[in-house]
Amino acid sequence: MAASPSRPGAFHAFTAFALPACFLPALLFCAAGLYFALIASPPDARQGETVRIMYVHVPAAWGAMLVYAALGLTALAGFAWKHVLADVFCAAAAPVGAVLAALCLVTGSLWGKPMWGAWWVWDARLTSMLFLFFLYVGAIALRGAFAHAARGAQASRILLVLGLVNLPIVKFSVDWWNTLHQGESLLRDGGPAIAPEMLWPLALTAAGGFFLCAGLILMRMETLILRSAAR
Amino acid sequence: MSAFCALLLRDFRLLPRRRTEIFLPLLFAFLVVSLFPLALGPDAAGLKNLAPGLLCIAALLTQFLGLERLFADDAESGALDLVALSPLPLSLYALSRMLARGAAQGLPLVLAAPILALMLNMDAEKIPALMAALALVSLCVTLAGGAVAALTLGARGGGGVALPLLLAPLCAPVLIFGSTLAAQGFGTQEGRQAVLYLGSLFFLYLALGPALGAAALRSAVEAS
Repeated sequence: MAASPSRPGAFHAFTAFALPACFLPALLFCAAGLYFALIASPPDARQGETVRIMYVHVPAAWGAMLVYAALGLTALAGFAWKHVLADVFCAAAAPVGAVLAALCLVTGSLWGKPMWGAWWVWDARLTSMLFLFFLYVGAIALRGAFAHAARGAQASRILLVLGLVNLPIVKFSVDWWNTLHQGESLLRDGGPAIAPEMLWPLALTAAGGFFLCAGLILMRMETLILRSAAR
Repeated sequence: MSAFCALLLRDFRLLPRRRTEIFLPLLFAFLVVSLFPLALGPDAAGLKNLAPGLLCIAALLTQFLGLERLFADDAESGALDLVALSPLPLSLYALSRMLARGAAQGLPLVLAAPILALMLNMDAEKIPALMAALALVSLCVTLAGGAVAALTLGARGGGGVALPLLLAPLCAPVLIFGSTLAAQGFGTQEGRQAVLYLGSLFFLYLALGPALGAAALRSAVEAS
């Protein structure tokens, strides 16, 4: 059990192995992905060079949703099993998710100006990503709002569970309200509607972003454990 | 269960003594509604189109008013600790506080809705749908907001700043379906869809709000 991540004491042995195992693929995938995205892939027939924003924008959007799902499920599991690391994960991953959501919004805005002619439109996906960002900020703010750290941690986790239930409803209701964003291009019947020479760089940057975020979250978790041990 | 009824009855009996808690939110709603024409212009046709959305926002903001005090008085007086020690489940205690608050702050606004609607030049036949929308919006916001109020209980600065930030994103679906219902009325397909969605949201928050609120109250009691 020396390398098991399930006990805080054994966590350092785990990160000693896991951090290089995350950052090395992150470096490789990001470097290869950026090369293909910026140099070796063709500009889009209609969108021109601006399509290259996609290689950052889409992985950021996926990452923001994936991190929130992981946060909500970990918070829920934390209530069921009261595992110490569940709370450390929630504390460590929330800022990473918030940055991903912000990155998605900023790159989307930069992409929207040349394509749609506006920095911001009240489209369904933009709005639900904005609300996802607000939820991240709320969970981070709530954690720091109490003099008693354990109370803040618990309140933040309850909010994450509430958001986990509420987020699909926000997504659905906003879709019902208004849709302008382009439809699903990747996971749909009849295969991806995206050229293979663009799909490969996207897959590479997405994989790179995934490993980068996993490494950053693990590094933050280790820092938080060390900081609480130092007190 | 009898303890739950007793709590609820106590809150309702106390209502006549807390007249400011009923009339101040109502006055606030009137003020918000009368500020909109100042900002948007007095054009009657324009106001008529905006009225359903404006009234739903007014109902939402009215429910935000003083929400951070929902459990704070009981926490400060020690009543919350006694409830936590009693056999009454904390979720039922939370539910009784939420229902009493929803009635005290939501009902007057629903009853005043026809006047507000006429001030904004809305069609008279849309008023029943507007009242249903405002009632459901108020209840949903109170149930979700009660849980958030329990979360921010004991926060620095009394939770008054953090609460709207946490609650507003959760209220997006309620606002969307509420204003659709108020704008479309019961006669259209969209309006009927919206009232069904709004009703299912109410039951969802009825199940979630008191339960999560109770978890938050439990951790607040343990931390104090």
